[in-house]
Amino acid sequence: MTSSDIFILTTEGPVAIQRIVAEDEGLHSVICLDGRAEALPVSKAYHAFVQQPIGVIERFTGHGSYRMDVEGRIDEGQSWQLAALIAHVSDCTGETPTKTVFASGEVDNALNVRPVTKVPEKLGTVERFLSAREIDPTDAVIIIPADDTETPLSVAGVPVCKVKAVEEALSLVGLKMPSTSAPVSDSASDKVDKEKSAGFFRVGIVASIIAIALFWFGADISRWAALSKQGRLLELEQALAESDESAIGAIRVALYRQWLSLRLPPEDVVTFNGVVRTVGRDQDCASVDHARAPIFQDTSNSPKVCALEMSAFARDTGLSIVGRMAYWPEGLGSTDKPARVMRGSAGISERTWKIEFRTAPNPGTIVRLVAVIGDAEVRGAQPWYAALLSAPVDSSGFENAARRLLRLGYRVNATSWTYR
Amino acid sequence: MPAEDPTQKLALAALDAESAINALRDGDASGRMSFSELFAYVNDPAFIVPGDFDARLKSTPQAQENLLRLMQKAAIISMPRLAAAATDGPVRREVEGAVLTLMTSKADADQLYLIIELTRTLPRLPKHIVVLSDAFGPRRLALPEFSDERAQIIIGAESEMALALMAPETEVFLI
Repeated sequence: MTSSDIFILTTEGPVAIQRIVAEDEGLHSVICLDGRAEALPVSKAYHAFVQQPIGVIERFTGHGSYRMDVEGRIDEGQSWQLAALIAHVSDCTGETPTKTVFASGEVDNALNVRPVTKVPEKLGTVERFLSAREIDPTDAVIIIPADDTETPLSVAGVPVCKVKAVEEALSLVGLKMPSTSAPVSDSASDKVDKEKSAGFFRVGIVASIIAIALFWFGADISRWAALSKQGRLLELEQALAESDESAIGAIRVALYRQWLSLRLPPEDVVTFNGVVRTVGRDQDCASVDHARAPIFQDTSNSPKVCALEMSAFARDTGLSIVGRMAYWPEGLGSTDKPARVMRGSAGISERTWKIEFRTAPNPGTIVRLVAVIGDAEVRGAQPWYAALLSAPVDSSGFENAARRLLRLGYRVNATSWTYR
Repeated sequence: MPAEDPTQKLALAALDAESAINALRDGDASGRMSFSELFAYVNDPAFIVPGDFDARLKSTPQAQENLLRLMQKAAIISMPRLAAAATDGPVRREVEGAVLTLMTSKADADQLYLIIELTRTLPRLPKHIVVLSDAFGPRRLALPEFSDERAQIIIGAESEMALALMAPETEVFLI
């Protein structure tokens, strides 16, 4: 595709999609600026938008790697997706849109068009752009997501059309969604199967049967497997809960959960250790070298505590650890939230958390470390930490939060340091 | 060791002083290359390479040796010279821990995809790729963030980085 009649609406003005070229399979899809050797930061999101099982483009083109060149910078967000999808449909079918298209909208896996932000600002840039480019307003259309916000019926004579689905957007410009040319990915669970099977020989046969069953259950399972592989656990949990509402969905969810249970890390795979750094009672932490003592040693007669370092290691280096360390100066859960929460060092199967005490801890101070371990580094919102960091390990609050993660294929390990 | 570590700064200053004394003794004080500059080239992502860096490096064999040693020490992955000449197909270097591939873009034959795939868990993810080339001197390129153990970047097919990567006699370091 080489025509510039599809524009992405941005707050800086419409950006033309200049061309789409299929690249060799195996390459990650990229969005480049004006033909230059510069991949824009949104390339990672574009790759996910293209490639199955998350992406939608490969589903109808049968190809999973593209380069899209655009006229101007697109630095963030997902609102480029609707225009990009229209451009891909045009490229795939060889049909040119009947009108110049200005579009903004996020496209989900079911090809619904989801609301995006800053639509009024984006519309505000169109009028000046039309006159500068000498585009005939009667031969153009602005397509935005249907939502509750008020928007003008037209901008500089160009009608503003609100759509809920990609199908509607395409019909506005004389295009049709191509039939799905490639089967929905069969492979997310298979890929997972291939990548890590070593620790699961004992359940190999059962796993194989489940894997075959997962294959036949199709798109949802693939999507869940992809979410799991990317560590997007909250999204996975929500997706499973949605599917669980229907009878067939519940069977799929049960099967998938069975699969996850087979992939659970062993219970004793994490080791904690660490050190307490101390100085004499009358000394200043900043002015002298610290003495170091093992963290789980009795500190009841220790001198002044300056800092604490705790590490978590996974004995299986194929597993990822994430976690939080919370500082409770007055004791666990004594206030609404901990005084400080540390995310820990970068790492995969090993992380370290450090805290330097601004004031020496009093008896009763607790530092709680929670490590979450599983196949991938957990990303996105992680609401379970609130309970895991504040509740006693044997409390129902802690157990419920840990069970949430267990049901998603992740195991929780926690330890606490108490100053007595 | 953190970039601002005072012990490190002191050690680098001492090495610079020794190098300056040697240069004066050998009557070669001009165009000298300090150890701290080489150290920054290898270890500091924010280091801006001076315009005369290559020329000074080329004229100072000791600096070339120091750079190679620093590179070998700092590299997470080293890819030695290839035994065979490059072929017409995609350029590929594979060592324990990483695979480097160069593929021509179908959209623009003047551009190449440089792909680095990590095949084992590393203590940290590489931030830079450095190629030591007799023809061009060292060439350094910042890598994008790794995703799924993989980084991909587009480079010009005629760029010195591309030509250096395609040349079998060059050494590649991921730092």
